[in-house]
Amino acid sequence: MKIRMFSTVLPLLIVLSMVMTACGSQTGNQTANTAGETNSADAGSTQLEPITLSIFVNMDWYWVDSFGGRPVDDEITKRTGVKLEVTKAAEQDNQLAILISSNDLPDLVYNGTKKLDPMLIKQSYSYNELIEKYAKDFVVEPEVIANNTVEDGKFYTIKNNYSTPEEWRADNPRLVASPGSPTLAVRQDILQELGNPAINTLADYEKVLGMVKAKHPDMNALALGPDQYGERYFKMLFGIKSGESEIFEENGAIKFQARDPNYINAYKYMNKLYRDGYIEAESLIYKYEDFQQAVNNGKTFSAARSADLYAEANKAFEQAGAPYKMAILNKMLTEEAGTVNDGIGWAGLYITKNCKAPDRAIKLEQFLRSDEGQKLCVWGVEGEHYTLTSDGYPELTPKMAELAGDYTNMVQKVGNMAWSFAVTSKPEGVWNYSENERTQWLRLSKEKIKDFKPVYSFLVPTDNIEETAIYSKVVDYEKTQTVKLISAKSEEEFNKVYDTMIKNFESMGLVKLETWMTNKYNQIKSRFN
Amino acid sequence: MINNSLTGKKHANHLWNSFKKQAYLQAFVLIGILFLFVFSYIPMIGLIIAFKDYVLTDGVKGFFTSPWVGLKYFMEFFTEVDSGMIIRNTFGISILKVIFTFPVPIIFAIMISEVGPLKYKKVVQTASYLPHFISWVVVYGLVFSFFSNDGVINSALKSLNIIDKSLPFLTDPSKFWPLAVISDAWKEFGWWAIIFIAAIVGIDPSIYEAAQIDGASRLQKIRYVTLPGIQGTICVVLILTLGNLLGGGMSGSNFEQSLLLGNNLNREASEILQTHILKVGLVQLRYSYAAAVGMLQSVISVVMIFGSNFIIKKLSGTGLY
Repeated sequence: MKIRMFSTVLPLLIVLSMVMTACGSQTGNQTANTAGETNSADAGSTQLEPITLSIFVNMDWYWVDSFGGRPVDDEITKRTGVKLEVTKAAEQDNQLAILISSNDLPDLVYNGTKKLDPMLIKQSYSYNELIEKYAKDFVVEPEVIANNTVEDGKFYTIKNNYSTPEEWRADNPRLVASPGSPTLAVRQDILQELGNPAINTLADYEKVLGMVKAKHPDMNALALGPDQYGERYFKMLFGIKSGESEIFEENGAIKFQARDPNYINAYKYMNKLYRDGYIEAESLIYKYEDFQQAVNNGKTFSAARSADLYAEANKAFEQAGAPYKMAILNKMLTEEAGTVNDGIGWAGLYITKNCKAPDRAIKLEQFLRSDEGQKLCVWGVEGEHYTLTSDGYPELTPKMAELAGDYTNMVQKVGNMAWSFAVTSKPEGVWNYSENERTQWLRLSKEKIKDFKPVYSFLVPTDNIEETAIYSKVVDYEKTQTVKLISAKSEEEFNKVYDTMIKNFESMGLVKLETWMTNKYNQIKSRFN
Repeated sequence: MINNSLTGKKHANHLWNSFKKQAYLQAFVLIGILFLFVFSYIPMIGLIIAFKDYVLTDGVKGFFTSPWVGLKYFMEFFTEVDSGMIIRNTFGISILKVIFTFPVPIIFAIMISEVGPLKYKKVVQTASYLPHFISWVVVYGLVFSFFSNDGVINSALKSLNIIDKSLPFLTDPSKFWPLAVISDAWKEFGWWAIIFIAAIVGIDPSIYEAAQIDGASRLQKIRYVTLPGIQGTICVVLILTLGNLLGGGMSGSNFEQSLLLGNNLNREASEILQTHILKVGLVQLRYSYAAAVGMLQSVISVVMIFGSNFIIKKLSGTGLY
């Protein structure tokens, strides 16, 4: 009896839930249509019908996990009618992949993980199509289109934090390199103790490391830290020819970074520092927390990481009541120092095929990309968070200046930076400006950008082809081998480790990969001229 | 003939009746079976992608629609630059763990059962299995504090003038295997001793009394009463341990240890199948490859469990089934 009742009720429930789901989708479509009509009728109007779009932010470290109630959030809603329903990734490596495979994508995805882009693209609307249909007045710069165009000739996002070579090269003292630029910080108090020896060259630096070790044998003379971050500082000093894509062009052929003589010289130098006892083996296996602890406990003389390292260390020293002081080594220690910028931007907004109102989504992106949208997203609300100087630069209000001291807290209170889906590097560089040692170093780093090669970013295979697997294998293997180069016990061992590494790259298929990349380079390079 | 069929019917009726009598207990078993079916058997369908060129965007449908590639990913694993190293490490760490960590809880259980004062016994036993509840992430922190250059061990050895320079416990590949085995034994021996202590408690005390009357010494009682008394338990735990040999034996800790204690400097001793699956398979999103390598490990485990059960049953008469 019970079984019979169950077998009658269950199908009924299923049918009922299907009907309700269908009703739900219908409502969604109706919203989309209505919005489309409203949009076309009220093109350019700020009085848009309120709508809530769901968004997945694929960054597990993100500052905020909700939208609304902050001055910038509310201003965005006021200007566009859009509210966001935010889901922040709990785990950014796999969660988006699962959403894609289960077709559970929300209306929008804000993604900065390159590896997942191809999958996301298949599930998203192209901007070409949406601009053509709903936002004909949305003008995107040709180089930005080139930087975001994929195999099918369309672009599916506009990666933010990209500035054109012209913007970088322009004489704008406020536009400096990203705070993520590799930087060397040294302990100012110990330098003073040693009689303030000048550090202008690598030889000077080595001499000082020797003095530090002689006076403080238990001290970590140089900590490089995890993720090859510190190694990047020395690669920059030796003028490495590759950028973030880890490849470079030589005589028309594309090669992996490990073949660059400057790469070899940089690691040879780090190996020399290791053999001289200035780098501890243990510092090469530090996880970030270990690295931070090694710096903050005062047992490290110099450390290479981002430009913010010194400030974080000084804050920790102050809190611990320690009389230490860290400062940026504000000089390029070699003549040949320089970097290659192959960036095409960082993260971007994808409008998925599940989006209930793609017209409203593209209009939102258009607003966020506009001059006023970018200023709002980065600087906040004019009058409340900044005022404009006579030459058009933002000057933080006292309240905002105080808030900016704690970046995360500022984003969570004001909402600036949180929704900067479409901003270029410029507004943040200009906003972030204050003339201090950090800015001076970042300006110097900017001046040392030798070349702009966005084309390199397109030579990294991402499709489901053999070369994609080879690239991942080679890049990941290289990450495991550089500490072996640094910790080689002699120059002979260094050469042996290096030769084995190259041999292993080749057995993974590096030559095949380089041929593929060279062919692709020849096909697309004209797009970037 | 008729007799046979009647007996069969009677037997079936008897089975059904006893099943009905145990209806509530059987319901519990059913939940367990359902759990196993849903979470262990149904996911096995996914193994199919080890033989296919599966792309994540195809979703579950792609399990069946993606093209067959045969043993491509299995071959790829064996031709990898590091496959020899990975296989050596996986077996090396696992076998060492069985040899060194398997006897520890047995010895400890015997020792604790020989201790007189109940209070002391309880305190020691509780203290011994507490580390089991500490996660490997926390254990990693402890290991780092103890074995780093400025850690407790190196500082102690230096202050006793035994060494001048810190020993590279965490970076030297030759020290990874001992570190993994010792930390695993420390963390898990108390927990596994519980089952052996229970087995010892289950031995009939009159056998000990008889042995005592026969003039057996304490060691002889252990040799001739305790060990044979817990032989069945030892065999069952050994079979389960060998079944999970590649996962790290009793504790199944190989993955956590290699992931947390492993680093690029000791990689040649710490990289194992499971960390390789994670790095190449999941981080690089190569699911077919990951499934193939994972399947290899599972097949070896199945062979180990059947093989060890067969051999142990032959030798001791005790087995899982």
